[in-house]
Amino acid sequence: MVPFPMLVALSLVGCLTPTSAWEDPSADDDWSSAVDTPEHSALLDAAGVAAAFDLALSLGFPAPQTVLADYVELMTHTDESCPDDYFADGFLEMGGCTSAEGYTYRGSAGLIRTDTRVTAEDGSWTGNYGLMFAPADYVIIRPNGSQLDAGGNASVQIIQNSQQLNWTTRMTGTFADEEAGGWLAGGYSGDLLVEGHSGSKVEQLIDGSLSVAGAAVVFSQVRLEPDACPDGAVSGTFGIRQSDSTWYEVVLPQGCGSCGAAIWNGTDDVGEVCLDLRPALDSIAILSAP
Amino acid sequence: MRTVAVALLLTACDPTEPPVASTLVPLDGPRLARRMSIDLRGVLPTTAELDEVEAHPENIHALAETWMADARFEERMVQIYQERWRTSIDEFRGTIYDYGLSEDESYAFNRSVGEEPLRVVAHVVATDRSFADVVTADWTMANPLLGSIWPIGYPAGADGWQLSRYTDHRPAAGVLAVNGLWWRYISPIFNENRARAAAIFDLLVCSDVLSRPVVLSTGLSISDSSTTDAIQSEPTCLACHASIEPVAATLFGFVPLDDQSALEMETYHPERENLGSSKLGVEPAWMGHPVAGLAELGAAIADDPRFIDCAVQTATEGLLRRSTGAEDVVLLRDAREPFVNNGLHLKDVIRLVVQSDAYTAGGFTDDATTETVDHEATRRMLVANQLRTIDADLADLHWDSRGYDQLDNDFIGFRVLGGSVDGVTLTAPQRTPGLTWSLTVQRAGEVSAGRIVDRDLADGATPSLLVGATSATVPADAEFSTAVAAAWWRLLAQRPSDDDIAGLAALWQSVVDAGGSATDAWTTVVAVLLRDPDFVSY
Repeated sequence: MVPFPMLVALSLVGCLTPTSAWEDPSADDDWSSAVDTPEHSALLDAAGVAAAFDLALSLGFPAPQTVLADYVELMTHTDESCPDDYFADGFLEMGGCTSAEGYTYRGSAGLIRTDTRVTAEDGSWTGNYGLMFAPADYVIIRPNGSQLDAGGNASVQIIQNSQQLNWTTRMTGTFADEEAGGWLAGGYSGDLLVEGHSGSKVEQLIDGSLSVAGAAVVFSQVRLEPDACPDGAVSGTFGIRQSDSTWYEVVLPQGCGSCGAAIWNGTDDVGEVCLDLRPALDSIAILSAP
Repeated sequence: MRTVAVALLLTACDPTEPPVASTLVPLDGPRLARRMSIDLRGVLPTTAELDEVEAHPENIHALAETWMADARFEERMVQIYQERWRTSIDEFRGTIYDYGLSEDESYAFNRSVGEEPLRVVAHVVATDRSFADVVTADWTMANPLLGSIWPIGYPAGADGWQLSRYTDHRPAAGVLAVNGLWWRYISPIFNENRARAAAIFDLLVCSDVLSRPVVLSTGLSISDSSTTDAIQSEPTCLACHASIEPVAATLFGFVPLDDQSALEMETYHPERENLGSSKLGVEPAWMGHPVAGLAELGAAIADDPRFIDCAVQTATEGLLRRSTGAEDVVLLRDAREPFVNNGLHLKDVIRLVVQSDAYTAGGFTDDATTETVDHEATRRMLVANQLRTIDADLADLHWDSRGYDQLDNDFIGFRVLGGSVDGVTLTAPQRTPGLTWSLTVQRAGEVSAGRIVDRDLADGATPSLLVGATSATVPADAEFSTAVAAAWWRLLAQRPSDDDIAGLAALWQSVVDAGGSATDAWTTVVAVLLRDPDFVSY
């Protein structure tokens, strides 16, 4: 179709011969609108939605401790000159360097450590433990070619006193290490904040989103209380991505459970979906430990 | 509104009225063949092709078909779309250092990134795919460099640009889902993809929202919260943002949380797709029609008639080397017709445009109006990226320095100085000669001339340009005139007069008289031809 301003201009100069041969590419265009509504993808059924959720966590619940430990281990293969020590426990190597052991370090990396832990005779501890990247925009390549890629930040903060253990973890950005196994091998992208405490009762709140190997989920204020609700969540909303980049939302009813109605794209109810929350529940043990 | 417009047309235009006589004078066959060859494959016609259209001008369109089937046609589409899409810039936020590449790979890196979306369009056009694939394809184009640094499955053992696929589960949305486009059109975090949405409007439906008139209320505050509110309520703001925001909402899978991280920038982030609604306060949509994500955005754009209009307009302007206006409505309509009727193959548009009066025009009749003379481009300048491919073909000249093609970069080269588009400071090719363009043309001509003469006059060589000449040929020889005439014909697509040849003979002799060698004299002759106004224009 000739744009309207051009039609007007054309009518003024008087030189367009009306045509009827061509058709608009959207053959069913009724001219009530400029754009046809695109066809939607086929919907998943409830089992498919549950499977998509399981897929995102099938390699384990992402924990910043994993990538931080991976980094710390890889930093044991440096030498005196490679990499530099521009950042504490890290480096700034724009073009990259290779250590005597054959490990290549490129980008910028550093760690901020906090450790005031005091360990008792029984092995328990009190104090403050913190570890976070500052910054994390790097790649470390092993002699065998495998590599840890990092872009973003990851942090762990754990504080324990005689009454309570509190933990906060956050992993923002993209991290991948094919040799690490689990979710880190699949490649993590996301911004996931987890806060928890244990004492009189154990609670963990998960908020944010993640994708592992392309399977993506959103946790919106997902509250876990394993003592009171051992197989589900007390509350929360989940977003689950279909491979065509459309989304389902599952809202858990208040109380305790793992099932809720799945709504596709805010419009279509595909029925009740029951989510396997064990990876999230199991993450409490991982995320609450240094 | 459409009904009114059509009614207006029907009353204003009488189909029985004879068409207005054109005031454009077409090029002759050889010069038109030269123009088409440069536009369609980036090189001059061969001598045999010129001979053919001289003898049989009607064969020119058969030649054009051959040229559109030439591998170089795809390269030309890359160049034509670069002038409009402006993605081949010299510097991206991600750099060679992020990937451990050497300084010598900097040019290749930046060109690879910038050309990715252009290569998608060019491949769609060259392989007769539906133009809708530009925004719906589940593939991209990649070369080995991109295949080695980005999450792309590049075909094993292949070389050059190949149809490839991303492996990070990004939606199928053609150029809307390739890194190259979003590395070029970045969006600062506070901008929330609005700049990228504006680029979509500009590039895909030819609607430049940045050029819309805006009259802001003097009482409008610019604090963060009030700005956000105003965008969603102030009529002046809504004029653009009502359409921008819903498109921006579909692009959050490309938002890096760390905009200094190449890893974050190169990776698609499916888990961020839903951030748009919360960040912008709107649901994803294209022109009022809800879409569920980027893939549906691509489909919606493909179903929008403005996408078709824009494709026709972009191709037409790329070939006419000028913008289109009301004078071109008939051409655009005529070019659109086979496009929409035959499966959205852009070659149908190109095929029709190169036969149009506007394209074939080489001059004006005496009664041409000033407006027509100002509007039409009857003589087009060769700019740097065209000289680059022409000189490579004629003289095997690849003007490289430190890995940079000097006619295709502005970091240490002469792309903008030579009239081409860099995509940042210069967004349209130069239309009229200038000082730096002249210097660039001169230097490229001098270097090319030297290479041509060294090749053609080498012992035992069969000259391809200076046909019949040897290092011993002098102006008094019949072979001199033959060689000069052959070169003139090939380079300018014109037959030289006796005076033309005599002039070059005198030039040749003056160089020798001044102490130059025969090689110097021939180089001077060829260099002069390569700076002739009829060589550097087409």
